[in-house]
Amino acid sequence: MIRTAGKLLSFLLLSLVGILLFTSLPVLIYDYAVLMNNTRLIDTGQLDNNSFLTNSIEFEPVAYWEQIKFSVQQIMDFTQTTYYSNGNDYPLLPAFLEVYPQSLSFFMGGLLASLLVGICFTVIYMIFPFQIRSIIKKVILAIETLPDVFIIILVQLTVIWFYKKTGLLMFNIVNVYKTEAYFLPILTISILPTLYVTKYLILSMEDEANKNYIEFAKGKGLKSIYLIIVYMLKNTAPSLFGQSKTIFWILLSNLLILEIIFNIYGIMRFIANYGVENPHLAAICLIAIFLPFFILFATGSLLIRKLDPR
Amino acid sequence: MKYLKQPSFIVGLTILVLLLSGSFAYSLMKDESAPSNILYGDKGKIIDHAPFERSAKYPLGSDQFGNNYVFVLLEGAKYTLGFVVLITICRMILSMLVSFILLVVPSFIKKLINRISDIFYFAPLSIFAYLLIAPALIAFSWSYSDLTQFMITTCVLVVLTVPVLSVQIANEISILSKEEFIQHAPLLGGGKIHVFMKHILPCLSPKLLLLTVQQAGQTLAILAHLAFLKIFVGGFSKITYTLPGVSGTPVTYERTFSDSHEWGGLIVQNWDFYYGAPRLVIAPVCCFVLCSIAINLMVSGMTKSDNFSFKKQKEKKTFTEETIPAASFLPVKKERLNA
Repeated sequence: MIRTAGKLLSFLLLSLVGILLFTSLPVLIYDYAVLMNNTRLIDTGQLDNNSFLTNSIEFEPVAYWEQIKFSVQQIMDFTQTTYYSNGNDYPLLPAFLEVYPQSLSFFMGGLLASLLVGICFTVIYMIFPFQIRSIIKKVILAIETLPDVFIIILVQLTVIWFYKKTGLLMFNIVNVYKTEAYFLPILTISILPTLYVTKYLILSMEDEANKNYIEFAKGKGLKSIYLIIVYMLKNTAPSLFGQSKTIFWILLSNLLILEIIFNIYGIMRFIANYGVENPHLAAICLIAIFLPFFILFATGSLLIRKLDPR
Repeated sequence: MKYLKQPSFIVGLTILVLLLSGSFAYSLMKDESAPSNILYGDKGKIIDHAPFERSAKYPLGSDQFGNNYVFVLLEGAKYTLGFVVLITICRMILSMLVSFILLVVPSFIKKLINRISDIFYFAPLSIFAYLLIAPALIAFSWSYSDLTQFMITTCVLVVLTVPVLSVQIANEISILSKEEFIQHAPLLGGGKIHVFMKHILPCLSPKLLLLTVQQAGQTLAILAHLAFLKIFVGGFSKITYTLPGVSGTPVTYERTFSDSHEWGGLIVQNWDFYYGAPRLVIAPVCCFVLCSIAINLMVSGMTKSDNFSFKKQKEKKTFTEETIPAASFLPVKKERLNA
């Protein structure tokens, strides 16, 4: 137990350090002091011709170190932090609290949906006879190779096409003022993770089905659906948990494209809009994305450790 | 090449080669005259203004200038695919070099790099690339020349995956160098370079090739994402024009155009028309999809062929050396006992 906790702690610390080091990197290669100064002048209208401004790639370890210190300081009191945009400094919290819960709800919804649906698919799959299984497996592998951009555009166009044909709007397609779309975004971002979960579970379940204890239980006369749900699902769950990082990553990557195509103003677009001019803002946002994952991951691995002390 | 016996590998490769060669052939034969942005019918009647709708002559319609969109896409293919190839090759060479360094330095550095690069799981890779590229291309774009912008984009996309990739290759090499035939080679007088060239590289090269193709697929995905984050990879130019507004006062619009007609650039440039003429965005996206399918076909063909030859080797081994148990059986048995 203590070893797991130590590992988790080092994971947390190294990830935080990594995020800080990475988000400060732009300061290392660009001359941020001059650039930000010029941006302020242009945005406030004091400088209206920018064609004479030139700059090149620099190497500034001192500014990098200063930026890391500044980021740490800003993260420590993130309630007071401001970010620069378009000539003004805005306080972080109201804007951040608007975008973060929404993205988080899509994200958690997508995670839950993809796990549930993925497990259901796998159980159904294992019931089918062998010939149909291989066809289904090929179809899943084929769809999984499609880029997320394509899948998300496809879903949106399908809904629009359906609306044009029947006049029935199944879901809100884009976020317009105060009418938020919930069901469709969650459905959209969970398509690819669901396929990934299903694929992984199918492969490990087929491995599990060849093991001695399953064959023994079958010989005893237990029903195969009972075996799948009670034994195989339980025994493949830890290895699925080992894939949690990849599932997380697929979900985030889908979330980014979703926010752009469905016009949802979420945390990914927040980073893209303001994270470039404010490296500390990017650090705060990335940590805000990392922390929920870490909490889930830590509880999961402690739980597995407790249930299965090996 | 054993891979050429796999049909899926051949199909994938053919798609990519056809696209590239078609693109080069088109840019040689292209007529340079500016197209008309008004389409005339039989008796000189005006049928349509650019962007034209789909028709027999324009299978995908046209862009805002009246260029046939199929040819625009074909022209862009060589830039997108060429960029992908450039980045992938640079990535592989750089990660090979870094992996040699990783093999020499103490192993905790490798572990540290591996642990820290876990952060790439907590946001899409394209966001990380964006944070490094966007200062030069979007936020402070007035300060940087076209060449610097291109160099930055290339360097960032190359360097971004080098930590993960080099650790992977270093692990692969250290696993290989524990093989008996490689450990015995220095005893027979083989120098380090000789052992690497003659023994490690032949075993490593199929894995490296597979990694290369996978990296190409990943680069393609990042380029598509960056397009949606409004980054022009192949250069851009800004055009301002003034049109009479609704209330009579002239309104000035500023639009950016992709210089190279690279697919990502086409997506960015036409994003404003997504709801009006969705095909202008969807066609380049479909090109990305086509290439990614082709690359995945190649990957599946390669893994199939590797597994096949691996199976064959195993069968041969068990056939000739039946009495000697393979060492790799032990951990499997242990696992089974525990389960």
